[in-house]
Amino acid sequence: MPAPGLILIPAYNEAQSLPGVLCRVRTAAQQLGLDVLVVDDGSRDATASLARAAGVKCVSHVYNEGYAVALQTGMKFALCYGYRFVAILDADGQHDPGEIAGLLEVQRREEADVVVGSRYLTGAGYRATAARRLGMLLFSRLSSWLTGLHITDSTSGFKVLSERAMAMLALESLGDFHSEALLFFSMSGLKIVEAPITVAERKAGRSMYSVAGSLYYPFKTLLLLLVVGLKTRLWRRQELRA
Amino acid sequence: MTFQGQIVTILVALVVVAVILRLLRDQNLEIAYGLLWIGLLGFVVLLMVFTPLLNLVTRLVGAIYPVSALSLLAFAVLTLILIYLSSKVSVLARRQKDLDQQIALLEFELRERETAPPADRGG
Repeated sequence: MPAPGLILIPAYNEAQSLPGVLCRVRTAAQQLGLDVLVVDDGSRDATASLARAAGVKCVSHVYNEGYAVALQTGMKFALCYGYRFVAILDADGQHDPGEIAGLLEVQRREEADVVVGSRYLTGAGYRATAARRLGMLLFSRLSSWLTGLHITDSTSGFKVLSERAMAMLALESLGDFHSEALLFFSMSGLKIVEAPITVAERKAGRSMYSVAGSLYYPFKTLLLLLVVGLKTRLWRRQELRA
Repeated sequence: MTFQGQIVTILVALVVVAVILRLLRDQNLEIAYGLLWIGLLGFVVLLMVFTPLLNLVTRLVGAIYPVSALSLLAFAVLTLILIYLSSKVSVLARRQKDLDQQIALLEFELRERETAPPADRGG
């Protein structure tokens, strides 16, 4: 009998941190009866072979397509193999796989389509640079204002998605899957809740945000928010006409 | 424009057309793009060679000097072409992304079949 859910780990050049992450993820997966999938996003190191050697499922992009596309590939995989929910973790070891159970419990209790693991819900410290903290705060406030929900951490990569959310994400790859994705889900009528998580410091590898990427991020996200708003309104109009 | 200027314009246009034809011959340029650039060149040559036409265009766009009208037209046309090409690149990037995802999923399926016990392989 196939597992009901999938732990999805998008990874790009994470050979250093992946073995340790997979060791912890496999323990959590066994306890919860879940499968594990690593989406190797065209890594130039041994990310894919390490994932396969660790005995987890692994799909590999030929080229580096970016985080959102890697997530979308994971959603397509999950839908293709009949998984009912997906828990997304970063491959850098910052997320604690032991907290997946808590997020799944919140999803079940709240009947939510999207559970966002928030670093700021309990006030427990996550240390980031002042500029980054300011960016996170601004986009969380913006997401709250746009969705009408209380969102404390719109840039979290630790999420649980229902089958409905997976199907939507399989159709649309959205930026970095942050504020724009929350707006997209919210405008599409999906239920979003937050659950507290703890985040450790990155031990190896490089963040997907370079200095140039961090400067580009706010402009890209603002434009994406506008596009998502326009697109969702267009879909609604088309649905009404149909 | 002086007679010498007209001759230079035509010579430059001929060189560019030769480059376009070479690219088309070697299949390094799509016919549609070849037509677009040759058509654009033809229009520029027409403006340069037939001065009354350039004067008419200058009056139509509300410019005082023909060179201003030409600059405005060049900017508008090149901007449109760049937007069109950006759109084409985006469509190609999306198709490439879809193919990359399909390859990733198919490769996974293939690996699973190869590693499955013989009884489970079927066929």
